Amino acid sequence: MGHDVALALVGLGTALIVASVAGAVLAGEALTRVHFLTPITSLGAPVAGAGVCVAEGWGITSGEIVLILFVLFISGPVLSAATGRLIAQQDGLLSEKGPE
Amino acid sequence: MTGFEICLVVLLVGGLAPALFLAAGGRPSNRLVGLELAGAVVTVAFFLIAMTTKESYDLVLPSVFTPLSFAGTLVYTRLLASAPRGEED
Repeated sequence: MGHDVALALVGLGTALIVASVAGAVLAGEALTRVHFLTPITSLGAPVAGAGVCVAEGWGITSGEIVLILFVLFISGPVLSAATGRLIAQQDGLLSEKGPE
Repeated sequence: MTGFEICLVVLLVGGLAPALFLAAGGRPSNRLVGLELAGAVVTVAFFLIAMTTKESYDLVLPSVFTPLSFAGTLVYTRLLASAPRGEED
């Protein structure tokens, strides 16, 4: 039962990640493409990581996975914002001078 | 082949390969998006590798890779933002 739940979660997380990357490939503009990072770091990776935690059970391994997922969860939107700002500046949509 | 190994193969073929394709062409800022996607996919792939090898010390890889990838990508955004025009393409 636990193995089936773990496999279902990992499969769902994998499907979300593959769908996000496919969306990024199909997106025409870079500014649209940047948005597809956050579903991976905030949804796909945590779901897959939860499946791994269910398979591993409570322990230091699951704690390490949760810590890694937390860092990934925080980094996704930050990277999207930084990259989106860079692309917007290069496309002339934003002034190149940042706020002082 | 276990279900987790199948998920790992699907992740590498359906997630990492297209992300590397995005990182291989276009402007440097556009390639940076592919690099970010690849980094996130690789982190999850490391989890599945640790599961399939049943060695918990394999989790050292994503625990080091994730913050380094985050910091490195931010450095790239800074470097590309300060690059003189004409040298980016």
